[in-house]
Amino acid sequence: MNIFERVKQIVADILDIEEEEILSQTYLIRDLGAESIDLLELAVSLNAGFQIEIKDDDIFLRKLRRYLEEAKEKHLDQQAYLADQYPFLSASRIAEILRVLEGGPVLAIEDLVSYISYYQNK
Amino acid sequence: MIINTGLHHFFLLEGITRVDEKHIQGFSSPSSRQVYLRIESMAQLGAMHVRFITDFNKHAFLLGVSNLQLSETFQGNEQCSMTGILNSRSTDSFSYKLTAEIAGCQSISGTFLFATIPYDDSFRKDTLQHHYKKIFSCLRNVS
Repeated sequence: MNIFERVKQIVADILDIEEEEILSQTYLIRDLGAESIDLLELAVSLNAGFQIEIKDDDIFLRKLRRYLEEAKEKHLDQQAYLADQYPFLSASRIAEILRVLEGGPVLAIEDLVSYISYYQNK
Repeated sequence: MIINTGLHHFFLLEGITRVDEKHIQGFSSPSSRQVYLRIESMAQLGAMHVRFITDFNKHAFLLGVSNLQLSETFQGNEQCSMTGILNSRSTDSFSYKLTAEIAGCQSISGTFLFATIPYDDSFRKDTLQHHYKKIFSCLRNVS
């Protein structure tokens, strides 16, 4: 089973939804209604499932808007600043995040997969 | 408003006999014989381990219990020994298998999920950190 399939299984189990509802681009909070308590449960499940260190602030992009503010204050390029903070996200994904930021929380299933894939191979 | 639980400080743990990065063992008072108090004792043991491995630098609390199993023979006024194993964790959440036994027979087990948050105005570091360090030290010295 690949990383996406396993993540999908874990998320479906925690949120008590059908796996078919979950796509790579599905937003965890916006689309699936995940709450902070769900993310805490998800963090330990991902640690158990993939045997990698889970940093909640990073994997759930918790400080994303703070980083954007910091970049603005320091007159830095926001995309480059986010790339430094989140090395597991691709440049195209960061660009996408900046595009959809106004719509609400941007955390997507693909971000979890990217985090796991990056730290598994590190 | 004061809510009188009838339980002095509501602390049911009586001792911690072993603790390392992954495990904790302890025992609770024979007086806490009701099932809900046994489960509360288990939660207190798990939360104490979370505080221990985070060096008492965060406020720890129970998020939930799942897979709870209770043996039919569970009863009695004897001392209850408890074991906790840290199964998985992140920076902010911690999942334990906790088991409570009376007289060597497994009586209650379950998966306990804890979370931590930084101390703040509601959960004050200057009060709570010292408080829990002192309790932990006392519980270690009892065993």
